[in-house]
Amino acid sequence: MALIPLIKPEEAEGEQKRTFEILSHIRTRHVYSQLASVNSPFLSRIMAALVYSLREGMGTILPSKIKQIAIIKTSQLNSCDY
Amino acid sequence: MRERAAVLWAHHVTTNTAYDRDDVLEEVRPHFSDAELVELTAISGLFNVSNRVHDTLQLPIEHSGEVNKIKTSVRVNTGKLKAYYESLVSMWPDDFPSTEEDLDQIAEASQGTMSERRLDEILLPGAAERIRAKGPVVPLSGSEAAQGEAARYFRLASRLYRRMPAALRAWAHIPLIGRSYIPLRLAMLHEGLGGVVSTRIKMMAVIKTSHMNGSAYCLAENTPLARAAGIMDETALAIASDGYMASPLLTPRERAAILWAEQIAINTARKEEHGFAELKKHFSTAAIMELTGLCGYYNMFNRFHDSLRLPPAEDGEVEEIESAIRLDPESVKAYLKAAVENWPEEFPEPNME
Repeated sequence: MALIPLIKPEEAEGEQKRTFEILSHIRTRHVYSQLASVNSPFLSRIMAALVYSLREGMGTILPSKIKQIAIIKTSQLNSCDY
Repeated sequence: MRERAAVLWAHHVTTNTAYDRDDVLEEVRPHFSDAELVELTAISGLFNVSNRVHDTLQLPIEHSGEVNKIKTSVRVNTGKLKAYYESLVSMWPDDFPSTEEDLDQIAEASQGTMSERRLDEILLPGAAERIRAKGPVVPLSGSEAAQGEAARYFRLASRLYRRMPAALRAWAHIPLIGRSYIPLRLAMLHEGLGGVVSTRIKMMAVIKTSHMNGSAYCLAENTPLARAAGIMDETALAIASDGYMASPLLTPRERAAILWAEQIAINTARKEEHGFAELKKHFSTAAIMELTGLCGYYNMFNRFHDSLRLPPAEDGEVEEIESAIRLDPESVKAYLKAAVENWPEEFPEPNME
């Protein structure tokens, strides 16, 4: 069980709700990490911009296969099943 | 060969040994351009954040049916990202929360010596000289030599930074991604932009994380802000020591934050429940998320800076580093607005070699 609440878009209010509205421009489905990070709504918005542009390629020049190789190696070394 | 080199680099970025392994650099370097190596270091660094945040907060693993719904396109829709930036600006909050801090306790704890030494000199003596002697892995040109998107990136950065530290010059190799790094770092460290944790507590977490990871670069770069937050020489030494949980120089709240930073750095928070139990006594859910994100990202920044062998700031440069604790949200809003107005017309294609 997660240590902090995982906020669902349909239950969010105030700045958390606005954060989901902003995130909907780049995400149609929110993974658990996003549901957790919305607990800090404004920082969640700022963090998502870097994650989205770096991971999924705005202006990136490495092919996705190389990036996925790095991600798998990193996650394996950190024993991260998620 | 390129794929094997990527695995090798990711391994040494993650284990935080790339800065010291000339043999690894020699093997990896010929396979990647400057920009590619910066990007590869950043993506491996980013997953050191992601892995830590997921495991530390014990987030559930997606069910296999849900995994299949995860977006699988390998190229971002840049129009969507532009719309995202635009909505960040148009839905800018009217008010930002205040920090959750007991100022009386801080005043009592803030006693000691504030020397002119940088934090890396106090906590990792000799480390800055060693990394400077090696030299950076990629060229670190400034704005004067930049062209095209890199020049636009520096113009944007200059809205928020008076001085271009080595990290910003490294991100200039991948300027369209670097644009998103700039507001993130500022929002995480300073007060006034959505965070509820004080810069003092955040600096303590940064010091613990960076000391554990041996990052002279991050310690040097954060010296002015830590000093502005009242962190004395003795306090910095107490944070870095093994005995911080018993230090009279730290409040119980500060100790809990440092313990959390330590557990995230060595990735043991999921197994050692006392860390979260301590944290929960002193911090709200929003603050826990913020602190976890900050600690996660400093595990990225430490690795990114050190793997690229960025030279730590020298004494003269440290004086030029921004040390205002509170950030004017309007300056960041103006930055994001300018980023939208300067949206690139074309985006580079990946090197498929």
